[in-house]
Amino acid sequence: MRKVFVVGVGNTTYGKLPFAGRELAAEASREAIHDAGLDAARIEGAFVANAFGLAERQGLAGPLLMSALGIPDRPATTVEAACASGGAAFREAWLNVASGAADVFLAAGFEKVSHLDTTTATGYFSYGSDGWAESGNGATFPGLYATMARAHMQRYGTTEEQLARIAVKNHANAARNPKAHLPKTITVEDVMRSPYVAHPLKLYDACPFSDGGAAAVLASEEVARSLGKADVEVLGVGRAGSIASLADRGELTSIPASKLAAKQAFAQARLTREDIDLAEVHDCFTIAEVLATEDLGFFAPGEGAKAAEQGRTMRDGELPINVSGGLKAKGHPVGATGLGQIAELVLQLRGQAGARQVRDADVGLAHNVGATGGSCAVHILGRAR
Amino acid sequence: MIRCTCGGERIALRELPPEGVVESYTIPRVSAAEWIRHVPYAWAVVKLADGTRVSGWIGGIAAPGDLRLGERVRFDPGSELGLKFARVAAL
Repeated sequence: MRKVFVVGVGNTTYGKLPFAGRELAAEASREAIHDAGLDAARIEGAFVANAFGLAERQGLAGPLLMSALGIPDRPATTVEAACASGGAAFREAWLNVASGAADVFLAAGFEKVSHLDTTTATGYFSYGSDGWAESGNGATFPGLYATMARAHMQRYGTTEEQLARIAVKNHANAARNPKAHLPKTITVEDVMRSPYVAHPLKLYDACPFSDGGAAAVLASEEVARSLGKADVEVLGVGRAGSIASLADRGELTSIPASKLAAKQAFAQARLTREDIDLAEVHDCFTIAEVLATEDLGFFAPGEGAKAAEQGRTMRDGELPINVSGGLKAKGHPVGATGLGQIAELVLQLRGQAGARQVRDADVGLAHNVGATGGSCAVHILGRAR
Repeated sequence: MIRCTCGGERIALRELPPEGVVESYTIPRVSAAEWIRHVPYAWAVVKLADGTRVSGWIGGIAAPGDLRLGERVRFDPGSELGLKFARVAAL
């Protein structure tokens, strides 16, 4: 496999936006292409991540994006792996460049859901589960993570207050991110007073329904050097899955796909957990950040919530987690999320993250989960020396 | 409904024991449209007497005090929707 560089990234503001999904994908992609200093005609193809396009009564996301970018003759394929769609698209684009099949590839992602009422959106999100076992028995998406949260509380003594501290941290980080959906600081009391959406998870334990787009341009070393953009390299790639249904999986307090994808990515990068300077992890709910930091090996099983409570994952802590605000407060436009994580890491590694810049950020990790762990993508990016 | 997660190709129908215990659960408050009329209910992972895990729902659960982890539940064949269980203590 060849070296692959992320030569450009783009990220729209996340939130309730007055644009169609196809516009969000195009805006993020144009920004990434401009960031790379590239002519769009150099792009050889694209993977376009989207989960709920039919909620807009619009499929064909890939070809529509190619037309919008003025390169309608390039192949583009829509990628769906529930909430891991963005990370999955990045991995497929990486594979095209790493294998030598292409020199420049685009990974883009978008989601548009704010036109749906809460009940309808809740229904769509529940379809990202095993329908026979889960949504077909009344499970909602928060409900599935709530079931894992209750099991984690029972097994390890994790508390609702500890989870609340993760929400507080990620909101504080989002307040420094001009592209965040929920850039406001909150208190533990705010979280504890918010209503339950699926006991034991409350409204403020949950990410919002966001609109947004994100994109990354990946290129070979030769192209990256010719652009003067060989500053961020893809060091490790991991992609894995787990049994989709929680009951069939039997494992409620960790996500096997996260462990496996992390193992692959660390092995390829020839790095250890201690080498990671910051991580963007999949915190669709506060408990998901706990599971992520344990499954990725940053903290021992059962220690993730305590580590957060102790401030170890704050922006100025030993391992900053979700300095962008995470899914929880930056927002979660499903198809865009995994690529938004990549965009954040690239800005951090370049030293362009403004008020939320992590000092001495050389190596970053992005962790993107589909459903309750049916799919997972882990990417390790490093600042080229 | 035939479910297989091991990749096995020799699949046979087998009757499952009707009782099990609740391993974990949630009480969804914001539900999809087709479930709103069933609120309050719990969605649960149930470990049946033979060790098989299934997921199902239990009506009438409004607060965590209404259902214990480890509590015995029994398949309720009267429901047309999904796999419904009832608390054994309430039968």
